[in-house]
Order: sequence, then C-alpha cells, then structure tokens
Amino acid sequence: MTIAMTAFKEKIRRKELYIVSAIGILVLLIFGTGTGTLSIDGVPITDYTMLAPILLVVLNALACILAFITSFSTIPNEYERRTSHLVWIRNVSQARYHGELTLANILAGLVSEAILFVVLFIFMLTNGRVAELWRLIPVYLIIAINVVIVSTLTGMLSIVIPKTFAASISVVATLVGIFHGLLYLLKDVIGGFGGMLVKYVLKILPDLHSIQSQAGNVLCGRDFDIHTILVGLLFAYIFTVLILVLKRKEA
Amino acid sequence: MIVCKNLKKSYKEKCVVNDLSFEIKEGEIFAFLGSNGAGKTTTIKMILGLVKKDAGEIELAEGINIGYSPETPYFPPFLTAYESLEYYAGIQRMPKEERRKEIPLLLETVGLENNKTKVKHFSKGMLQRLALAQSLLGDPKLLILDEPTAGLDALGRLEMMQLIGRLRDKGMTILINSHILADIERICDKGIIIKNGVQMGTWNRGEENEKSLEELFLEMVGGEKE
Amino acid sequence: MKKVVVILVGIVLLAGVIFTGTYGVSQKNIEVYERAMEMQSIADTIGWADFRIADYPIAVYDGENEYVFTRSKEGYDVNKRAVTMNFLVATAYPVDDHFEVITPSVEQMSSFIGLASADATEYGSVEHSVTLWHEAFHCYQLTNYMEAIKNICPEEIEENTITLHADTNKGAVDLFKRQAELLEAAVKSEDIDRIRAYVVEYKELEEERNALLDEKIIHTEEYYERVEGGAYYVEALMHGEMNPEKFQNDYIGGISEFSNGSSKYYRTGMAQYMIMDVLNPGWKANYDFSEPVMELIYEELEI
Repeated sequence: MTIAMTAFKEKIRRKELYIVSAIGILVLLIFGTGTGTLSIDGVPITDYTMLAPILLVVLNALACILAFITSFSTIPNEYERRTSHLVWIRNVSQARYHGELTLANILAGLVSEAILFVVLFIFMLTNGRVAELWRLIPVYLIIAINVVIVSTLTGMLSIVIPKTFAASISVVATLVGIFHGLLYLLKDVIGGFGGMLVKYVLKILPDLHSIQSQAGNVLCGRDFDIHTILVGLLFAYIFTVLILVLKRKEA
Repeated sequence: MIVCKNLKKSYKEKCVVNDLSFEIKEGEIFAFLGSNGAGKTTTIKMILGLVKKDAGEIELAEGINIGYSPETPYFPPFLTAYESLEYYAGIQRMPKEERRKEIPLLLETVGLENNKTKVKHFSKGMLQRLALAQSLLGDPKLLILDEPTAGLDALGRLEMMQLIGRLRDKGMTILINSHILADIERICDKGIIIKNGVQMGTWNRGEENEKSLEELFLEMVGGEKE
Repeated sequence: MKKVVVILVGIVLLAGVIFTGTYGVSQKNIEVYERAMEMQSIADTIGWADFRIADYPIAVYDGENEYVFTRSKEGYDVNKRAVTMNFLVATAYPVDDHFEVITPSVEQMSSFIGLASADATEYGSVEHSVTLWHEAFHCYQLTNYMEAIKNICPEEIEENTITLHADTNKGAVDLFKRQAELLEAAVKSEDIDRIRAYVVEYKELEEERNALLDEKIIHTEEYYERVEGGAYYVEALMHGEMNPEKFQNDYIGGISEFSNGSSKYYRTGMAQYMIMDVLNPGWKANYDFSEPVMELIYEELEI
C-alpha cells in the first residue's frame, strides 16, 4: 500500500482540495440556512424535511465533482513526470500501480465527502434531529458509492486515453450521472434520434442520481431500493476490474 | 550480463534506434555515447522494459536485480531524502529491518546523510544523488545511470564519477548513458557511439587507441574538436 | 487466489443485481392499481352516477413499454404493449374508441416530482393511487360528457392564456385572491348563513373581475374550475379518506393559495364542488357539466 498511501498524502496536501471543499461548504451553507434564497412560488423553504433532501442533492453533486478533481490527473501525471519509470523497474505490475493510485483517489474523494458531510451534520443538529444523526453513517456510505464510481471511471479512462479526452469524457459522464433522473425524463420530450441517443447513453452510464435518491430515502427514514445500490456497486466493480486489467504499452 | 542484438525502435515514422548490437560483461562500466536525441535513453528504456522494442533481442542474466537512475528524477516533493528511499524500498517490498540498515548507508554513500530538507527544496545535484541512492536499494547487480552528471557542476561531476568508480570496485556492472566525454573517458571501460539511432562504432579502454575518445567521437558523430 | 476472489465478488454482485431487478411491470405498480381498485368503495359514497375506475384501462409507462391493466372476469389483466405516448405526468388519453389513464410508473412519477419540486413529501403508492382516480375521473367526464365539456371553452385552451393574461392583470389577480379566500372560508364553515354571505361577496367580486378580463380568459378559467376542479375534488376526497391530516392541511388549507398558472383553479373548482355538497348533497347524481358549479350554488342560495 506504499504507493497508495504516498499518493494519498500528496493529494491531501494540495490546496485545491481544500479550496473546492470550502466552496462546497459555502454552497451547502447557503442552501441549508435561512440566508438561502430557495423558494417555491415566493414562499421561502426553511423546513427541514424540504431542505434536507435538497442539501443531499447538492452534497452529492459536490462530492462527485470533487472525486473527479482528485482523480483525473493522478495516473497521467505519474507518466508525464516519469515517476512510473522508477515503479515499473521495481517489478510492480501495472495492476498494482494503477490500483493503488486509484485507491489514493478514492480515499481523497472520501475525505472530501466527509468534509462536506460536516455541514449536513451541523444542519441536522441545529434542526433538532439529534436522534437521527446515526443515519448519516449509512447515507455517507451510499454517497461514497458515487465517489468510488467517479474515481474508478476517471482513473480507468485515464489509463488508456490521453489526459484531456479522458477528463472530458469523465466530466460528461459524471454530470450525466448527477442529472440522470432529469435526462431520463427529458429523453421522452426530446424524441427522435436525439431522444434515442440520450436513452442509450443513460443505459450505459452509471445513475448517480438514483443512488443519491436512495441516500435521501435513508436520511428521511423511508424504504430504500437495494437494486439501485447493487447496480452502483456493480459499476464500481467493473471500473475497478478494468483499472486492474487495462495496461499502458510504455511507461 | 546483457546481450542486445539488432535492436530497433521507431516512433511514428521516425526510427530512433536502428539495429544496435552490443554486449556488457559482468563488472564492466559500459557507456552509451552520443549527442542529445541519439537514441541512448530509448535503448536504456528498452532494456528496462519501459518501452517496447520493435525488433531485436535483449538477453539479461537470469534473476538479475537492476537499479536505475533516470535523467530527470522526480520524487514526491513533500518527502525528505530518507522518506523517499523508504518509499521506494516499500514499493519493492524490502523488509523493514533491511531498510533500517541500508537506507542510512546509502544516504551516507551519496552524501545526503544529515539532510532533513524536503525534496521540493533540493538542488539538481541533490536530486541526482538521491536518484543514485534509490537505484542502489536492494543491492542491484546491474546499475543503469542515465546522464548521472547532468546539471552538476565540475566538483559534483567529479564526486559522482568517483562514486561510480567505487561501485564498480565493489563488483557492480554499470551502464552509463552520457554525452560528457571527459566523464566517460575517466571511468568507463568500453562503450558504443550512437548517432541518430545508428551504432557508429565502439570504444574500448583496454585496446590500444591511436585516437582519444574525443577524436573518435568527433570522427563518428561529427563536429569540431575544441 | 486473488483472481478467484475478484471473480466471485463480481458474480455475487451480478447475481444480486439480477435477482433484485424488476422485469415487466413492477410489484409497486401492481399494488398501486389494486389499491386504486379497492378505493371504489370510497368513490361510491361521493355520488357520481356510474363512476367506476375499473371501467377505464390504466396504462403504466415504465420508460420502455406500457403495461395496460384492464378489467376481466378474474379481476384484471395486464398486457404489455408498445408506447402510445411518452408522458411525463399521468393523463386521460383517447386510445382507439375509448379513454384510458396513461401514467408513468410510480417510480418515474416519484423521481419527476422529486426533481420538479423541493417538497420532500413522499410521492408513493398512496399518492399515485389517488392520481389514478383523478385521471380516471377525467376519463369519466370525457366518455360521458364530452359535448358539454367542449362547450365550456369554445376557444383553444392554453396555459398561456392564464399565465400571460390572467396572472399579469394585477386587478384581476387581487380580486381572484379575495374570491379564493371566500371560497375557503365557505368550505370551512358549517353555517349556511355565513356561507351565503361569502357567496354573495364572491358574486360581486366575480362581476367586477369579469369586467377586467376578456371572454377567452373567463372561459378558460371556467374550464379548469369545472373539469379539473371536479377531478381534484375526487382526488381530495379519496386522499382524505386515507390521510385526513393531508386533506385538511393541503387540500382545504390550500384553496386560497395563489400560484401562477392553472393549478389554482383546480383548488377553487374543488371548493365549489364542496360547497355544493353542503347545499345539496345529492346534486352530483344529475350533474352533466353543462353549467358552472357556481351558478348552481347561486341557484341553491337564491342569489
């Protein structure tokens, strides 16, 4: 785990992680407090049962974006600055190398997620939901599935595709995943070839929105759909296997 | 120790290594000589398996442990010299006991023993020394050094070449890639001269040479004697 | 060994996905349909002549296909068919020679409502069953009273008519708000004299307001109040049987809530039906949608 731990330590030293997390916290605080401007038909939303799911939607989006930011350049940078040379010559398999780098990405993503969850924790405390704080654990774990999906997808693409293309595809996939629900409904509105294209793209890309919805169900004490969570885990598994299997031809 | 036959490598349509053949015997210090872009580093990378050869054969002695010091070494910037060596020792799964004994000795060998600075503050020379130190982890039998004196001042170069000489005296086989003839002539036993990926000739300290290495090099590669 | 573990994990995950997946119409949608059928006993007490939800096929769209629930001797059948129309919301729609309720699945509706509204109130089986009743009532209206409904608004019915014209007329908006308050007060009151007083004031405001609006707007508003108001009324009563608190807070308490667009007329229309229930409990047995409900109220109160 030497590679993973060192890469992880390098990541958590990066200022960008904390700047983006701080921006994320600000955004969440705006949504979660009375200073927010959310309203429906002119009526401000301040009720916990209405705000908590909104906070979770925003938190999920931020966590996924942070997971992308901490992941997209990790593997390409290793090859660009040729750190890979001193690893390859030590008979470290690419599977182990890329796998440990991805693990570092995931850990950094989970740290970012935990930072964002502090806001949700405080929000629940200030709304008198102390007895429900324990729900944050399963909710965190469910959102963590999205973090892992984004990290592994981004890492997998960056092994075989040039950095810029890999990053572009990853960011599109992440956004499609976050807005999966909306796009799924819109596909019927779009119609024709465009609608079909959206439909097939949605089928092959992970549905980060549905997974976050299950987290929302757990947060609000409702039943959740295990199938959605298993599908998310399956995507994470497939991307992880691909990370272990895909190889670069040269260091 | 190493036998290479008819090595070839092209990038897109440009041939960067064209039909190189050479042999490095155990205990020798062998040199690749040539200008920048001659194909020296690419040949090294083919030997190390960092790059796939398009044609030819590479035979390495069985079970050989190789140490490599790259031309532009990169280390995690937040680590110290000791921690950097710990990192690479960890990657190659060196037992902790062995690390505790070996790392201080290596740092002393390269003159970084009391250095607590983080790598991000290292000079070029210090980075080169650290690169050499990590290449010696695990007591390799074959050492490959890519431009080990690049960026060093005159004193630094002298110290580096003396160090390399001491390693040879301990029985190590060393392959050096360099374009600094004076360094090669000082320390190496033999070498090949490469131009545009083609082997132009060989040089052997043991043989009687009418010409100096510099004259030989200029004759084969071109340019004017200083 | 590691490879074996990796492969096993994959097999377990894949098996889990396959076994927990839904094939065909989901159990949740079946439960929704069955609950909706069971609610017929509530509908029978409302008083609409021969209004039975089972008379109208219900097509559930799951994003790929439609699953059509139709009445049969054994209860009901479910048949798969190609998508008739992609709707984002439930609706009453003509198919061949009859009207059907076509609705997204309860999962899709829940997802859509979650996206479209910040209200985290669960949209689940109960809410969807009630939605089916709302749309089934439209099927009932369109099947039996098509001509009368067409005559409510000779002009084309467009949401723009309300949002661009009615809702931008400040005078009309202020009057409407007061009218809605009067309707809510009348619904909440048990005293006929008080109801009468509210309705008298309502009528005065109605005349004043109609002078500010052109006929197309008036007809469109009437259409929504009479047709959608009726369906919303049915929905409210059905939902109220299962959730009295929601009935009081959301349906009754929401009558005077102003919002842009046509949805406010659902609430005021519902209120008119409810007031009429107090004045003449059996009125719906002979109601054919040819007259405004407010006119019936004026007749009952001799205003």
